[in-house]
Amino acid sequence: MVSPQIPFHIPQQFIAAWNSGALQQVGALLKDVETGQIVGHLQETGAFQNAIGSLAGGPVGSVANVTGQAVGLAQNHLMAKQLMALQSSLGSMQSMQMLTAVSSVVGIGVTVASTAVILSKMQAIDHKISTLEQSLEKLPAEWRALNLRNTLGEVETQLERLQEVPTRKDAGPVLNKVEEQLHSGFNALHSGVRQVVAEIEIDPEVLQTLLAALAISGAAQIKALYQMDETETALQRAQMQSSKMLALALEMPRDKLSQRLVGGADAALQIAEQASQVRLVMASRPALTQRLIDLGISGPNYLNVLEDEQETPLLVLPAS
Amino acid sequence: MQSPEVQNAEIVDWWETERFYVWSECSRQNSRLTEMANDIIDGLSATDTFWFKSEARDDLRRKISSEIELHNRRLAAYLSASYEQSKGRIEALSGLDGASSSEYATVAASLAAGAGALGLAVGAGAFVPTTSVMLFVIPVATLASWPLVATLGLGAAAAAWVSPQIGAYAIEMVQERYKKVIQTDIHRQLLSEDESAPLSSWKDFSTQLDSVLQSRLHK
Repeated sequence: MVSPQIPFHIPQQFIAAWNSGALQQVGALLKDVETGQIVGHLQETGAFQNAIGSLAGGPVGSVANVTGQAVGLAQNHLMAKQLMALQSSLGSMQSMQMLTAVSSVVGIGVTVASTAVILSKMQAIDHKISTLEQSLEKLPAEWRALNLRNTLGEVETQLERLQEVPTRKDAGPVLNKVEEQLHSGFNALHSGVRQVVAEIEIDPEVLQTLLAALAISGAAQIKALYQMDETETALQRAQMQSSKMLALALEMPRDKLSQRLVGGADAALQIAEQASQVRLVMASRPALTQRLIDLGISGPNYLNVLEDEQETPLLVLPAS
Repeated sequence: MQSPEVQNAEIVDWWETERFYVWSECSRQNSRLTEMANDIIDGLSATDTFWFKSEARDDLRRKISSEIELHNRRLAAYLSASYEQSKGRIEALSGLDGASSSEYATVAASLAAGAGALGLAVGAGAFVPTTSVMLFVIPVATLASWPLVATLGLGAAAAAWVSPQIGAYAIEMVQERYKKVIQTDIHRQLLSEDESAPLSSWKDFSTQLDSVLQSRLHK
């Protein structure tokens, strides 16, 4: 049951316009094709996360394969479309059993994945990077100096602390510290990706894994700011993240990747598509956050309503 | 309501797609024209191979120049249309235009002026009207002359008079030299990353795309 406190609409109300081609999905936004105006913000719910978990054999199972996870990033966009179509035609959670490889905490809108799930994803990425470091003969020249595993270790520590917040008396200061460290972690991962794409020869797995880590740490950061009810800061941070993803895109266009990636044009296409979806999802967050500020909805309230929603996997917050 | 961040992300998608398209098309033309030149050179007679005033060699050079010019014009027309379509879809409907058409025209004009300053033959004929206004400046295709081959050709021609076997070897040797020179030249025209004038098709169009991207992005 959707909370009356937030003016959510269930997607069925948008399905007809969408099916007719009058609406298009761009990242986590629904846009009117004719006017270009944002009509609504797509937002995942607790039901969405539960469905992903059950499809992949539970939250931990869903993160078992980081490469699959990176594929999941690219499929978010498609998944949202499928979800809406399935909701429309079948209107049942069982219909989601038809979806495959839908494991991602990048989220549609603001992620409502539990801290435990985000932590599991980060640990899986950490493990993957460890494996890559051992298996790759030729790591990027500056790789060691980046100390990315230390960065990931620090992010994991902060996520563990985030898990403890509900039971801690000093929740405020802990949240502040966690958010600060997540911010540093995001920036370190961003530098790591920049370093990797500057190499003459790029390993696609390394790049995919780092992009997934960047997307997840960005999502966790925004969620933490929502939890702290710092929506104005969340807005600025979401803008900053989007700007950094844009800057990254300029350094790794598909033509450069296709010349430098081991795996050539095919690998470049896959990574370019994933990166594009991550950029669009991240770019959608400032508008959503601004909408919440305009409506006077607090971050914790917004997250609570979404986490409690166990019937409808995707909701639409109208843009006006 | 609009989102500048989402618009920027969509504009970057457009830029990335078109850069890749330009790269792919230039690579495809590079392979096609190299193969075409090789076939023509293989079919050259002994006279056309050695005679430095050979019409056949001039024809080949003209044909490749013409193909590259056509390729450049097609790409310019395609990119202009793509830009108009993308701008219409992303910015024209919003009140948050990153750059107006006049601002874009300024970018295009400064590119042309910059090319002029570098001594590029951009100007008359650079903006060719098509179904839509051509916004991308067309690189000018000019194949280098082949003095090395001609000199070698004279020496080889003398050798060919001595013995038919030496002649066959000389023909093959000269033709292989032709191929290498032409292959290098086609690559320089289409795909070179060299930033000195004249720019290759790839370098020229990708630089223009980068400038257009900067003019469209919301800062």
